[in-house]
Amino acid sequence: MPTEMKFLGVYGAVWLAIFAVAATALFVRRMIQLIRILALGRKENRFDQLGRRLLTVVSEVLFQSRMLRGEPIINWAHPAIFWGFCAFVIASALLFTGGIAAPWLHIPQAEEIPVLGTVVDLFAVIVLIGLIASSIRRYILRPPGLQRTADATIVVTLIALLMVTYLLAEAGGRVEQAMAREAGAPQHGWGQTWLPAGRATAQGLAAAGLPGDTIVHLGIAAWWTHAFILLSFLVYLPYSKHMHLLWAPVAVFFAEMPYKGMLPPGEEKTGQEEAGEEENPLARFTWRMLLNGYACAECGRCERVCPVATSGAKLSPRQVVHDVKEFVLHEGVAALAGRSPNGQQKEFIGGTVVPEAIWGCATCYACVDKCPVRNEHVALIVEMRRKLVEQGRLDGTLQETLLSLQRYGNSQSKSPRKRFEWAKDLPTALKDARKEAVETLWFLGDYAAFHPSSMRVSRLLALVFQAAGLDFGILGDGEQSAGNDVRRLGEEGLFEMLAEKNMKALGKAEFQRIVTTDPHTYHALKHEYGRFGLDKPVLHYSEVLDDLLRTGKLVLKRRLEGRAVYHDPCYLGRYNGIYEPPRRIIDATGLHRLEMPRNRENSFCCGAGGGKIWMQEEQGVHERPALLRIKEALEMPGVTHFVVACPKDLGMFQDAVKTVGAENRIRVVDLGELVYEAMDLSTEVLESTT
Amino acid sequence: MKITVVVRQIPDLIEPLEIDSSGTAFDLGSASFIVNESDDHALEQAILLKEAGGATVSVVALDFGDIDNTLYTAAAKGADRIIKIALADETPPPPRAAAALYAKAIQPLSPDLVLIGVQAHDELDGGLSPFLAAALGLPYVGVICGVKPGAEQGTISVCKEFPGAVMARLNVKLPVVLGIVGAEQPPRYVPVARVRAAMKTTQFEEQEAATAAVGPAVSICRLYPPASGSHAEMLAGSEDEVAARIAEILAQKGLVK
Amino acid sequence: MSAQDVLVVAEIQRETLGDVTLELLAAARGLATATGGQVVALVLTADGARYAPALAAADRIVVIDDPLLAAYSPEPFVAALQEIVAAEQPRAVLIGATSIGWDLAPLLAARLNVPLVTGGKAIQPDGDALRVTASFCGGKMLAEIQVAASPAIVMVLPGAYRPSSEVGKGETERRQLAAPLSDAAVRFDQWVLPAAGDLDITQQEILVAVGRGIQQKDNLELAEGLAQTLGGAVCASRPVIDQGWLPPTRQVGKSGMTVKPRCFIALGISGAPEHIEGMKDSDLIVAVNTDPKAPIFDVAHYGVVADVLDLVPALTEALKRS
Repeated sequence: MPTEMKFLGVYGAVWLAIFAVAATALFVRRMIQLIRILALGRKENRFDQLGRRLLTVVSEVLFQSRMLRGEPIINWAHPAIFWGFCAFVIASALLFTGGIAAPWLHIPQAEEIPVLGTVVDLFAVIVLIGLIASSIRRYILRPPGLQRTADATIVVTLIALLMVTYLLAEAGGRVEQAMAREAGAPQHGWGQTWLPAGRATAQGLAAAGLPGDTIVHLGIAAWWTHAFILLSFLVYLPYSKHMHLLWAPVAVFFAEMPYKGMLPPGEEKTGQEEAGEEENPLARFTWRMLLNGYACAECGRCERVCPVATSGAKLSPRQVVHDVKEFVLHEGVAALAGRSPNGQQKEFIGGTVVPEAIWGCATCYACVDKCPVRNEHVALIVEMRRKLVEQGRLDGTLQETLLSLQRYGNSQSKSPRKRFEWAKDLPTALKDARKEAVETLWFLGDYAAFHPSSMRVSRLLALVFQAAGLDFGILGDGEQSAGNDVRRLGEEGLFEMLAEKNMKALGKAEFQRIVTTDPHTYHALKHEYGRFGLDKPVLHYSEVLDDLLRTGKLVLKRRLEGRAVYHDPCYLGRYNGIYEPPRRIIDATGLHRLEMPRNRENSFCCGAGGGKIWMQEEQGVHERPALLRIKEALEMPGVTHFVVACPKDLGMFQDAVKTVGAENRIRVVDLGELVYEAMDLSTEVLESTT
Repeated sequence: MKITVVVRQIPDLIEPLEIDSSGTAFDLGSASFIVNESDDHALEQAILLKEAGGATVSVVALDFGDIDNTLYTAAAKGADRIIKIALADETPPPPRAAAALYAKAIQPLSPDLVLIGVQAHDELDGGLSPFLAAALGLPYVGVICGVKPGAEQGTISVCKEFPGAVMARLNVKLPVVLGIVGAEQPPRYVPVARVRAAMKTTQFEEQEAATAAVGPAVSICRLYPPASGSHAEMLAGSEDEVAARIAEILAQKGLVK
Repeated sequence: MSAQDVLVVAEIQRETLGDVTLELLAAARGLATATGGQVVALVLTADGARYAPALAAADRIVVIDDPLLAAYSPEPFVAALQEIVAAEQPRAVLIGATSIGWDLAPLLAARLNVPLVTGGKAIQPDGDALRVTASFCGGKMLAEIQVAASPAIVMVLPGAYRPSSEVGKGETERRQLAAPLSDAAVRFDQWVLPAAGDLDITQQEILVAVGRGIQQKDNLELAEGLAQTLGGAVCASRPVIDQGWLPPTRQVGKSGMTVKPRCFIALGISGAPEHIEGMKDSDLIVAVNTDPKAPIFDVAHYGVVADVLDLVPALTEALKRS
């Protein structure tokens, strides 16, 4: 072993031990610092469902499930590099223990162990190939959001050097063993293990004309280089973006469960005005939010799938997480050292992270869904919004909307008594669930109740429900906005107020289950009203229609003509995994259904969520998300129907179709409308003139 | 500087107001109430002056409508004292009579500046703001859209709105009552959580109902909504049909080039 | 002045006699004819006699020349007014519901301890009393009010009456006040004029006005497109100006400009009284609003219940074709 040599009279093994201990100490010190910084964050309970958490780590970290399903090239290159890393962890453990013990005790190295040796040996080459491929991707193909920083270059170089030095060391060791064999000296386990890459390297070096001694010396030098690169890496790691290596498994372990889109409750407020910055600027973020910064590998996936970033706006989810990381490391280190934040500095929320970026998010969840380390960009942004709301830094129209929600329970500044105006002229009046018990409570949501095109759909859906004999009723003027987007705007108090009012109204009604028109309402009622006491099942109307069709209670007599694409709403599809019922419904109407390239969990958001539908449009956006999406549909041959299952989608996409002037080519139509048309009811179609 | 702000609740016009059986008054039983918009601006102006330095803000209100919510919101915005006056009757007296009630509560505060919305839509016999000034024996100027500290001690500089986006800058000696039409910035947003927190920590100073002064009264003989818009000729049809019709009308009048 | 006379407070600002004064004179004439009294115009300004010709509709023009009345300040104006009214005891005092009127009328009523009615749209004598039709609740409610005492002060809404061509006796008289005036408490400093706008909307023949219904600042370009096609200009109601989407010089309404174009197209404007005040005299008013009950349809000549964002592009197209 190279550590049996002596330097300055001391065994190489001792030097190695000294450096290893020093490197480890520095590493541990830094890790403790990082953990202590995390502890400055707010508490959040992520210590439940431990079994499920462990399984998630096994699946997503060990088996790289998210990477394998991901973007091309890197979907094999990264797993290759990662699994190589795993193999090398074992090899390195043997290297260091073996190296330190070498003068007194022989610990077998990887090359001496069958199977392990082969695996490590092959991975040295596989990792190199992976590095080349990923470097081509990063430096030549240049996907947006993937940076070409010094940090990234250093890391790639170090890993490559590790592989090369390993192969050279293997080659050197091989040649040394061969020479020892010839000299009749004892050999260790070499020779039994199949090490094709090492052999090829040795042969290559020999073919290049290097004498055996040189190769051996080269191998020894490579061995020491390898050891020192490992130690350097250990020290450098927790300062570089590569610390995702350490923190990603932690972040994945503490991923959000059991449903998507969880938000921690707001910080406790004392009722006193806050003068300036909080004493501990990290305190408003939970430790899991701070962890986002550590775990982020800056891969840029979030930015590439973000509809807002794609449309040219100021928001980049990757930048937000990066800014948080920088802020955490900077402020965290200062806080631990007892230094108060420098008053001169730019404020973080609303300064470093500009308000446009904070308000720009549509909470569509594409970023979180794609993130390989399970970062929660949306939760971070919502937390930042909470601060801007506290400071009253909202644009005028947003403020008006929040006041309208406070006063009237809807975002449209309309009287609550007008919430069911759309149902006025129905031939059979709707039942009020507060007055008579019903099986299904139909919870509409603001847009289905007040937006002209959605009101028409509500009318048709009511007729469909009635024709199918569904026993349903409404909450009348007791229904308030469920508050999903209010919560995601950062107005936690208003959300609670709306929830309390809704629960009061629900408490007066008798029903067995709830059906919602709006996926946003669906998400809030299903997941976030439990703590207010709601314990009935919540369904989306597509699930109910699907069920009615399958049980024969709804019969579609007409076959509709045309080619349809279905747009998965964010809060129905990506957040809640409901993809098939709407598709079955479309199929049942006879329309020929095609899939847009970005479908199901890859659906491209219309841009209305997260309260954006209530905000002024951002300046400088070159093409709104809804426009980009409609163009995606128009590129498909002969598409006549763009089918939606959300009232906000309906309005957003109808506007987009008008903007591109495609009203004659494609029709934006709701699932309920399709079913109505396919039912061919003899009742008059109630057209709205508003 | 000691500032007093008056805030009022008025019936929300989002639903048409019902007229009672006598036909001379509103039936407010089913009405909802909101803060008077210009009073909200008056409060905002007061808070802005407080933030600029050295002022204290007291808020005075009658106990009517949804006033508690307005007062807790005022507390959350930074009001230092909140005085709530109980009402002798179910509804507040008209402005002229109400002025005396408010004056009684405000006099002990010896304010340098009284800010109140210049108008409320339910006023028929005059604005509360100038009558309040008269009851307090203080000077008054109204339709004010900006208040700044003045050049000299004990003065302020205010802007009075005139038509044509014109304003008159006036130098005012304290104490004075100002009828506010708009603050220098729109009323700030207070998150619900902060209002709720204020509910836990704020104490109102409750005052007894006083008898309203009986001044020269006007008597309402009848209340009725105006005849519904039958003035315009309504055009119906598809967008293109209507657009063509309008283009035709404009062309007929020689307005199309 | 006898107890049947009707006193009108002439409103003069920046050396201009306000239109509302002529409307008040018409209202006063109607009332005075019924009561058998005279129409008296009270001019509070410096060098007031030069406005006499413009006040020919009055029977008597009382001019009070006082340097402290040259620029507006509530106290001198109210003091002067109070002295005249207390001395003469007219049947009614008519004051325009303007920025100045909102100061003067209530202060006067308080000082004289006489009744006051705001939002006046129509005034008739009713025996010894007065009957006033008053508008309030944002123009959504009317009240018929009886005022028994005299003098009664009525604030008249601009636009409630049309100026009449009737000419009165037109006798001018100068009066001296008994008590000296003082503006110690509130003193006029200077006028603050709006930054010179790019254009004067009061001079435009065709105006395209936008209100809340335009929703987004970006949608202004739809209105601009329509205005350009017609060779007109874009203006707005207060909410749009308050948002900062257009400069204050483009505001139409009580605190903005009063316009009388040949054509006024109101897009997404509900028709609050303060706005209507500024455009009601337009020759042709076309209104577009999603609410069929919007008050704007009470002044418009043609109305469409539609979404502005749908109709305007269609209209612009139709105009380009014709």
